[in-house]
Amino acid sequence: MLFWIREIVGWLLVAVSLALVWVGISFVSDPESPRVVEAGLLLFAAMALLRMGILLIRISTAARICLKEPNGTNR
Amino acid sequence: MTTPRPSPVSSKPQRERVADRIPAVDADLWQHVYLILTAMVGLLFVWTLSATDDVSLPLRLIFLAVLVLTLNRWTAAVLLGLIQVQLLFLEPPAVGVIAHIGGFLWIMLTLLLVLVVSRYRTLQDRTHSAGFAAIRHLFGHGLNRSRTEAEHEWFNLLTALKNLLSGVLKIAVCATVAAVVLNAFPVNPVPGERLYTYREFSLIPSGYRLIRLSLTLFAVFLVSWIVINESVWRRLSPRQASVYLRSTFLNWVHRDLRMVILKRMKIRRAKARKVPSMSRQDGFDTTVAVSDLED
Repeated sequence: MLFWIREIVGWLLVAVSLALVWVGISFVSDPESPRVVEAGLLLFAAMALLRMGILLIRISTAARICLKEPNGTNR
Repeated sequence: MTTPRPSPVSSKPQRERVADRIPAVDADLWQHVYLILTAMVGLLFVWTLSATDDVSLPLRLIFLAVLVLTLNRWTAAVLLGLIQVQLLFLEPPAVGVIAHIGGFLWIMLTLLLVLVVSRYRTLQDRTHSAGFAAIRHLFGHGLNRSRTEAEHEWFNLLTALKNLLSGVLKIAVCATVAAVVLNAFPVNPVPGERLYTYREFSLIPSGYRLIRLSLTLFAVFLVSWIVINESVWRRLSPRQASVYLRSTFLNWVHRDLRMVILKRMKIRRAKARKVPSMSRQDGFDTTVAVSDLED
């Protein structure tokens, strides 16, 4: 159950990062006052969140695979 | 036919021979040189800050404090960050070609300051002596020294100056390339023959369109990349998953152990690179041994 919670949190982080990318695009798309620097900062934060989210998802997936077939871990 | 393999770990006499080939570096003298250069370039840097009226006195004092603290405690990254703040928000509107040249020289001066401070800090870590001790040693040692010592120090001074000139040349090339790249930006021109400030900076409309389209493409790529990678990741075998988990937890929990392992690998690779040059004189073929060590 703990691994599922971690995976859900990871997917939430990925969703937030994609939302941040969308906000960054809207910053640049504003024809009156396009804000490139602010969009760049948002993209930087989005990439950090995405990295964290992907890490959480991968760890929880790998842990579930190991738990499902414990014999595979023996050397 | 088997080729004789030399031992990957060199013996003590071999190591001594390698150590003899490395020229001795007078780190103390170089530290003095870089300390003096830091002081000179730092004074010029502070003078350029005080030459402009737009920079307030507290900010000048903060820059001065950062400059002094960089010598003993901080790294050059802090200095670079503050310089970026100065460039972004306080750059005064300058006029004509002289402004371009002045800005170019200012960037050169800043990078030169970072160069000498970084070099000084490296030497300080090596000799474990503080800046004040270096000054004391410089003034006390310069009065009574023998002729051999003077010749040795002169040779070291020449080498240091040669390295410094090479660094300045590299900085000049990098600054020129950066200036050419920045001039290629499609910037909306401001009225008059003056440079734009940070607030007035804007690209031409097609430039913004290009950025927007690039970001949209990037977002589409990101979503597809996440979907494909995560679906492939779920097909890991249990053994692969176990290796990934162990590697990740080693990185998180036992970072010190990871550093030790990486350092050992680095040393083994360095030794493996030295093996061919040493054994070529003996006529041994060591390509197999080197590839084994690299693995």
